[in-house]
Amino acid sequence: MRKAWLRAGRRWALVPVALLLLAAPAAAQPGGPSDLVDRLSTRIGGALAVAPDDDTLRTLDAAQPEGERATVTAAVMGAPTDATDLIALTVEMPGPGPRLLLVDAGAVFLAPNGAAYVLVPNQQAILEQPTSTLTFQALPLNPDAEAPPLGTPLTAAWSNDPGLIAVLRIVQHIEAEDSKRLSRYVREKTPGTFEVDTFLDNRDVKLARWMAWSKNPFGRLEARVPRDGLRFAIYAVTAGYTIQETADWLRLHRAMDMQPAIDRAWVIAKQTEYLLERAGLNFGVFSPAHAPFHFNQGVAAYQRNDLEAAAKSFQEAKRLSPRLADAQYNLGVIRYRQGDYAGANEEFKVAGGMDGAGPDVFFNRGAVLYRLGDLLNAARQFRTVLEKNPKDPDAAQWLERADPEGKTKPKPPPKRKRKGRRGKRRR
Amino acid sequence: MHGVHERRETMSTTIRAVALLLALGGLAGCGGPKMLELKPVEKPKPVLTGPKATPEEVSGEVPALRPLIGARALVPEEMVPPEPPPDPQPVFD
Repeated sequence: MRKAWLRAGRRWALVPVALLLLAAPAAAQPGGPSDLVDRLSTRIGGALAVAPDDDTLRTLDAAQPEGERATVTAAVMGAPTDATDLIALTVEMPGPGPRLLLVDAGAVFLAPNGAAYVLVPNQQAILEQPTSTLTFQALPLNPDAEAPPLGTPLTAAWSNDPGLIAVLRIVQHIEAEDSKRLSRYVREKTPGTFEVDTFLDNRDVKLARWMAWSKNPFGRLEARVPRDGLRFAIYAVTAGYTIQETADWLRLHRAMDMQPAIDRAWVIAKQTEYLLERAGLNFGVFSPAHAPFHFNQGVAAYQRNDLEAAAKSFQEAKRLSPRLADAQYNLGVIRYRQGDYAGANEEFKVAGGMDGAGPDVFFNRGAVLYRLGDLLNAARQFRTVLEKNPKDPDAAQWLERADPEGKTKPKPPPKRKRKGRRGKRRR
Repeated sequence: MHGVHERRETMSTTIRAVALLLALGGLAGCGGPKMLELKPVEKPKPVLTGPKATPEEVSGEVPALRPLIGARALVPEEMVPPEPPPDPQPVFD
């Protein structure tokens, strides 16, 4: 089997790892259900055991468990498919079984060359024997790092990255809870093949169509989130990936032509955005269907001095989200840097009329007007800045220079005449 | 008296021993500053941050333009990951 994988040109790495699992939470009642569940993410300590090959690994003596700790001695990691890597763990139970080992969000393996892997959440295994060898699916965190060579030890860790934890926890929720609701749309067409049998086309049905359905040993329908969507959601939160890098990744790693890679990337992008959105993240930065994506592209273009490209990106962001005041403001900055001061004035003028316009919009318009020689109107803009932020020192200074005589000082409101008393109290 | 005199000698010996230890400690401490030497923090090379300000802005003739608004973050700053779903009930049939 292993030779067949090698012939197929797939990466293999033997990765010996040792981790320590706490057997049960301290608050758990002895004998209760949660006493039988080990959550992998929060139980990782981590000493390493180095083994040169599979056979030696299997003969390794696991460390003696201390008290209530179970020991997990590690693992073979390879890439039997190009979508998911595998990590095999050898688990030593501290006491009598059976127990349930649950892989949830946060279990991470680090390689010395910078590669890092996170175990796909919501994987379970029943520990019945004192020693069990279990294979778990893993996804790389750093898309640009090379796979560690054979025999490279990995360090066990757990992640405290809120974005990564949020994505993995949402996958846990979808697979553990939402799939029960979605299973009503699923029908077993032939034994082992499932299809979504409905004319509806809402988000639930789309999610049900994306998910991979199967039956567990007890005959219940189980669903797994598509691995590609999860992979690129993880890349997005850990490496800032967008749909462009996704298409490049598909071309490089799956040897796809340009257009098929782009088409596939768009399919994956919808799944990825769904996961990011469900996780409470700013999913709009991921694909060009959303204004924040173009906004970020514009910022990147500006930082590399490509002002034309930056202006196009901010205009596209504005087209997709006309109320995006920040894009309008940035267009004004670009016009100014291009030397188009009259154009910058117009852009800042529009930005100043939008909801959410901050004091910087008015300061910059004041700066443009000052530069154009329209000192009184510049002074009025600086006054607006001071209304919004009375502690702005620059605005106060430039107001003094633009209008030293205070011509633009707003006139006090006219005094209202006191009306005479209606009722005469004289008697 | 004899006892007191003997005690004084003993105290003197203790003080000398303490002084010797302090001196040795001080000598040993001479190697300390090398370990505690502050090294300059390696700073990353400055990245391109867009076009430079105009000479008029630098010289203070006109107000310096406020900068571009930066990229939108995918992960909010005050992110609280959702709670994990409850533990599955193990079935050992």
